[in-house]
Formats: sequence, C-alpha cells, structure tokens
Amino acid sequence: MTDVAIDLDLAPPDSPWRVFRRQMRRSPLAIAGGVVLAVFYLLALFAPFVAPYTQEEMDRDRYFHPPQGLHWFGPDGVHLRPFVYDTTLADAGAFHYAEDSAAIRPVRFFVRGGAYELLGFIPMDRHLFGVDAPARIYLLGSDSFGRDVFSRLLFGGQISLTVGLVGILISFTLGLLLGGVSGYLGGFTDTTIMRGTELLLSIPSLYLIVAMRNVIPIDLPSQQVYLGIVAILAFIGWASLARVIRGLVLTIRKSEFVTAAEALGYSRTRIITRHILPNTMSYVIVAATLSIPSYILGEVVLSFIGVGVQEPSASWGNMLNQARSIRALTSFPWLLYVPGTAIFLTVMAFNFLGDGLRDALDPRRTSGGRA
Amino acid sequence: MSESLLRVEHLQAYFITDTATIRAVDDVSFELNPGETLAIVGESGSGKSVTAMSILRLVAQPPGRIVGGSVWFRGRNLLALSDSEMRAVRGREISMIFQEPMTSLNPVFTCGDQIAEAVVLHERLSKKAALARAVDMLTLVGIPAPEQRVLEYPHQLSGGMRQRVMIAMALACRPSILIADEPTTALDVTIQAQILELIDRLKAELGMAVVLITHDLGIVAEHADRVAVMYAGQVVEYGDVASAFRAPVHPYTAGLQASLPRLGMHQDRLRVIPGNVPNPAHFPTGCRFGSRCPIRIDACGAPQPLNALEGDRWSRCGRAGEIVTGAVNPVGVESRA
Repeated sequence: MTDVAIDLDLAPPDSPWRVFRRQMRRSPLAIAGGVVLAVFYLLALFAPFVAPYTQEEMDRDRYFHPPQGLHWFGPDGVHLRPFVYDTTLADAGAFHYAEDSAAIRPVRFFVRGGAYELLGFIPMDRHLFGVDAPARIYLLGSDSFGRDVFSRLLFGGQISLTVGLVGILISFTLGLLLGGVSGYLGGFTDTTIMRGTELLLSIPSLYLIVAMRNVIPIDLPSQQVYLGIVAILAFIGWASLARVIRGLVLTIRKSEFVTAAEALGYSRTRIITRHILPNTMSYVIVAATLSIPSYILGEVVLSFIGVGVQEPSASWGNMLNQARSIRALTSFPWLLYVPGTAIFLTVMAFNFLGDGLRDALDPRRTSGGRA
Repeated sequence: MSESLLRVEHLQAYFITDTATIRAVDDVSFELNPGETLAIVGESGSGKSVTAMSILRLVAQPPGRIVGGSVWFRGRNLLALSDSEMRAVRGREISMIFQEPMTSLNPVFTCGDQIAEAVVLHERLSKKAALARAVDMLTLVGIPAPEQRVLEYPHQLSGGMRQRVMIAMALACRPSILIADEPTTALDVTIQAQILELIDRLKAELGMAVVLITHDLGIVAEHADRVAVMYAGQVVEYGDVASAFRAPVHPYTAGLQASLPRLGMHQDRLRVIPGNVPNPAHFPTGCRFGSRCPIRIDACGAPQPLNALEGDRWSRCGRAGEIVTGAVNPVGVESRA
C-alpha cells in the first residue's frame, strides 16, 4: 500500500503511561504529596513494629508527659547513640516533669517488647526502637491516661488513613455503576436514579452522618464501628460522583466508538463497564484523590464528637477529642498539635497529589509545557 | 428474488419528539444480493444513515423508533428478533463502519484489544487466539508491522490507519454484509481511494456484500453495482448503476446528473435543482420532490409508490413511463440542448 510511509511518520511513539510520568515529573508538589502519603501509609501499615508501645498501654506514673527531646550531647560528652533523660514527676498538680540529667537512657533499636502480629500474620516481639525499662520514651508526649501519643498516632493512622481508601472504594463503585447506568440508559432509569441523588444531596451531610450514626449501636466492637463509619461516609459520598459520571457518560455515549461497539453486538453491561466507564478514569482518579480527605475529615468529625471510633482504640479524631479543654490547649498542647498536624499534612498531601494528577491526566496537556 | 441476502421492505424509522415527528426514513425498500455492492446515495438528511442504522437496529430509542417495515436476512426478520438474538447478528453476520475514524475507536484500549474483543465475544476464542486473529486482520487490511500495531493506541495512528483498523474490527468475525456509512468522508482524497479499493478487494476476498452509503456520485459510479437514490426519507430511484447514470428514471436523479460539471464543458454557472428539501417534520402528502420538479403535473399531489419498470429498475415518479420512452425530459423541456 502506498500510504505506508505517510502513516508511519504520523505515529507518535509515546504510550499513555510514559506521557503520564513525564507530566508528573513537572509537578514537584504532587511528588512531595505522594512521598508524604507513601511514608504515612507505610508507617500505618507497620505501626505495631514502629510504635514502641501498643495503643492501649498505660503508664500510671506519667500522665500528660511532654514530648521528650532526643539528645546526643550529655554532661559526659558526645554519645554515639541518641538518648533521652529519665524524668520524674516534679509537680503533680501541674503535671510538670523534671529531667534527671544523670539518668541517661540510650535509645535502643530492634528491642524486644510486647508481642504482636505484623501485617496480621507474622508473629513478632521486636520493635523499631525503645529504651530500657522501667524508663519510657515519649517522642510526642503522653496523654491523660499515660499512653504514648506517638504509638497512638501510628495506630490511629491505620483507621484514619484507610477510612478514605475503603470509603472511596465503596462510594466510587456505587457512583460509577449508578452514574454509568443512568447516563447510558437514560429515560425512566435516569430520572429515578438522579432524583435519588438529589434527595441525598439535599440533606446537610453532617446532619445525615450523625443521624445515620445513631442507627448503629454505640457500644459495638471498634472493628464494627469502623465499618459502620465507612459505610455511612460512602453512602453519602456516592451521590455527587454519580451525577458527574452521568454527565460524562452522556457525552461519551454519543461518541462513535460506542455506536461501533453496539454495531459489533456487545451487550449493554459490557458497553458501560468495558467501553464507557474506562473513558472516565482520568477524571475518577483525580476525583478519588481529592475526595479522600473528606472521608478522613468525616471520620475525624465523628470521632471528635464522640460517636466515631471509641476509646481505647485510637483514631486521629478521638485523639483530637482529648484536646478539647482549655487546660489541654494551654498546658498539654501536643495533644492538639500531633494529631492536628498529621491530619493537616495528609489532607494537604492528597490535595497536592490530586492537583498534580489532574494536570498529568488532562488529555489537553499530553505534550508541551505546563500552561 | 428469493436468493437476495438482505431485503429491506417498506422500512419506516421516525424520530418522535414532544414537538414534532421527523419521518427520517419513510418507506425504504431495497435488496442486496450476495457479493454485490449496493450504494445508497442522497444528500444530508435524506435518511441514508438512519436506514443503515435501522438495519442493525442502532437508532437511539428514544427519540428514534422503527415504526414499520421489515428487514429480511437469511429468512429472519431482523426487526422481530429479541435484543440478544440481534446482538448475535451484529458484528458476526452484519458489520458496520462509520464516517469518523478519529472517534470510532475507543481511545483507552489498544487496537489489538479492540479487534480481539469482538472475536472473543462472537467466536469464543481464547484471548491469545483472538489477538493472533487481530494481527491477521491488520495484515489483511494492509497495515504494515501489524505485530507492533496491535499494541498501539488509536491516538498513535493516522486517520487512514484508524479506518483500516475499524474495517479490521468490523470484518474480524467474517460477516456476510458490511455496511459502510460514508467510510471516506472524513479522509483526504488519496486515502479515500485507498480505503474504497480496500473495501472492494476485501469484498472479493471474503465474498461479502457491501452497503455503501455516500453522497458522492463519483464513488457510486466507480464502486457500486446497484444504487438506491434517496430523497427526503424515501428511495426515489433504484436500479443498476450503469442505467441509473445513463438514463435516470426520476427527475431528482436526473437533476443531480445535470448539476454535475463535466470535463471539457464550458459553463459560467453550475446547474442547480431549484428550491430546497422540504422540512422533514412537514413532508407534503404527495410527491416529496414535487415542489422542485420541472415536470410536475396535478397527479403528483397524490402519494407516490415505488413503481417497477423494465429491467429491474424502480422509480417513485408517476411519469417514469413517459421518461423511459422519452416523451418527457426529466430535467425540464427547455434544458436539453
């Protein structure tokens, strides 16, 4: 055939994946967000190993212990391994602790501690770091029960960070399917589904969350409460997505490749799931990244007002709950800063990553510089 | 004519909206014989695409609706099949390719995947065997380096290549009929000729019949065996291409012929058919070409059926007999110099 040469000239060599990576490299904030999230999720995954204590372990001698600094320089010179000073309660009324400069407690790595199962199935009793008993290490302080805030932050992250992932998994499945069916079939189906989403969207979401939370008994095991919270958040989250997906599907179904798929004898289910919905993926990935923070904040709100994850299980929301009083804010500010910073960093990281993904997946920017 | 492969009888497809009923296809009949190319020619809005879509029942419902007629294929009326029976016909027995190759392929899957999908679905082949078939099909449609092309995405191909991939997709299950809906309109002229030659070659190699929808009389003359001329939702003339071009038996076909510029002819202005196509929401009850017809008589106010003439030719003109004998000139008495 004579058009061979012309056709070969016109073919650009880039695969979609390579274009995506090139675009991502242009956005340092998105990469930073991705790195922060990767670190947070890894810490949460390996929480029992990284945390020196469990989330429930109380130290009745050290309530409201402030964060301890790591030292290399002691009165006797430079130390090769970092150490903390042992502390004693100096003023029981103000929870003021005095450092004992003679009692140097070097930080030891891979120490034996409480037994746990890593990733749920590897039995272990080693922890990343610790100090020799009876001294304790409080990198981020302790709370009103003498529990290590650092350990609770890691274990709380297991809940707070996954609530978003599991939540969008459920709500996006619902939203994609209902939005896809609604947009593709149109007519009565469309009307029914869309009026349903409007009903859901017309109720203020916080009110709806709290109202639905009341349906679930308050004293369930924390695992079930967790699932309940995820289900509630997902139930509220799918509606707005379904509306957007319906709009996208309405545009895509007019494309000739959908008619071509129909002309090849494909079923409706196949056309919706295999041909139309994959074309919404670049939007869905971005929307998912940007909506995870709202799930994290939803769990925080529920736990903060006391109907979410129950003590003694930790979540970033019920850790914030401890910092409600004026006394906590003035005397024990780490109870606010620690979970607050974690939430802030996570939400920001997701937003930066989402913005970066939006730019990288935008088909109008597959080549050329950043606009 | 019982040996015909596809027989469309009095097909009617309307678009029904709140404000109007558009009679896009209104009494269309034609036959397609094995190994034959039938051209459906007509201007924009004459109903040729809707006719093609109606054969495969692809008209969007609502607002479209096939309100009457029948489409006979291998002894079955396609319009009476269930949805799942119809799906087994689409792509396997009758395939269709479209006008716009730039958007006819799904942008998120590779060409190979898209060709293989139809094969896996209709012939229950393994994915691996289907991908091998995809490579064969790309070779068949003249795409170089097919092993590499199956792994590429549509945006990596030019328009002509995409139309070839579309043809490969449509023919992957060896259908007996290919409906080509203006397959070359969006391509430039050199690629047009190649695609049409490709369709002709595949028609001969695979022994299929082709319904070629076009508005280009030149394409009809070169590539079709028979032609159905459509005007305002109806077939106005139907017969073999040579006769229809040499001696048209409907004033619309004759007018189209007369409006073509000819090489070596000195003309200040191109000849046109006066007037406009009637509004499809308000077609006249009588002959739809009547308001523009140079040989209109009072009898043309009554509905015009498609009449059989000698030599398997058909015309929707009440005066076709007079046109055949030369008693009237279908482009107007004064115009034949």
